[in-house]
Amino acid sequence: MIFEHVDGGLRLTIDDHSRKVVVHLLGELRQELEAAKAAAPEQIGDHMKRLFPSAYHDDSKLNDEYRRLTHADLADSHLAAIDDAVKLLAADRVIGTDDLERFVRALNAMRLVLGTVLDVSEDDDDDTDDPANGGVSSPQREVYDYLGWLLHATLDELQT
Amino acid sequence: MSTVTDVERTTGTVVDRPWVVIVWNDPINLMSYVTWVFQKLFGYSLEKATALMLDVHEKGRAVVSSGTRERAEVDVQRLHEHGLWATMQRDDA
Repeated sequence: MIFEHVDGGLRLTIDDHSRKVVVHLLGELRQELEAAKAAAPEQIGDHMKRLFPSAYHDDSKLNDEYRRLTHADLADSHLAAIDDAVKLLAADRVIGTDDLERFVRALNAMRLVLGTVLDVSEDDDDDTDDPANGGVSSPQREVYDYLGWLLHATLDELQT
Repeated sequence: MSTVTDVERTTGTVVDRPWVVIVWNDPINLMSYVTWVFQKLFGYSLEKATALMLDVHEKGRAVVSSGTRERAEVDVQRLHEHGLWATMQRDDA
């Protein structure tokens, strides 16, 4: 249980270090999203493209038009979820169900970007964070797995 | 000069077909998250949302809603806001 039921809602009980790591990652993602929002859709970095998917499978013309009309709004929606999530991660903050919904969106956005960087595939399993995989990716994989655990636990709370 | 679109309007062969919204499988989104999004956005029961999620996971895609093009665009945008890989197209059924 990572949520404590208190008067007026819930309190997130993860430790301070984990809380700081997640807030730091949300800050980094926020910077990336601001850059993506300012860029033309075709200029977005590959690691951010999962947050800006295509809407028409086989029609580039319609897809370009859709992106032109929705790109900034989609970026703003992701940014709003991140801003809310940072507020919710403040120590002793009491949160409600609506807050949790935005929290899971922000957690999921982080996983999408990190999973893209890690090139996560269907074949991956829990052993892929083996240090033998080496260097830079192992700590990132640990964070990715932690975010998955946090997301799963938050979804459990939402559905109780 | 008549265009394909004009012919389609006259015959009703295309314009009457609804648009469908398709969610595609990806290796990152948690199955529990996808199920929750389907319930939240479309009001589906846990059973229906789970069945659609399993279609996405096992078959690679699932049609999650259908209707007018405007309705489909709204649904696609909401799914994108939630990080799901969704596209729309005319129903080819």
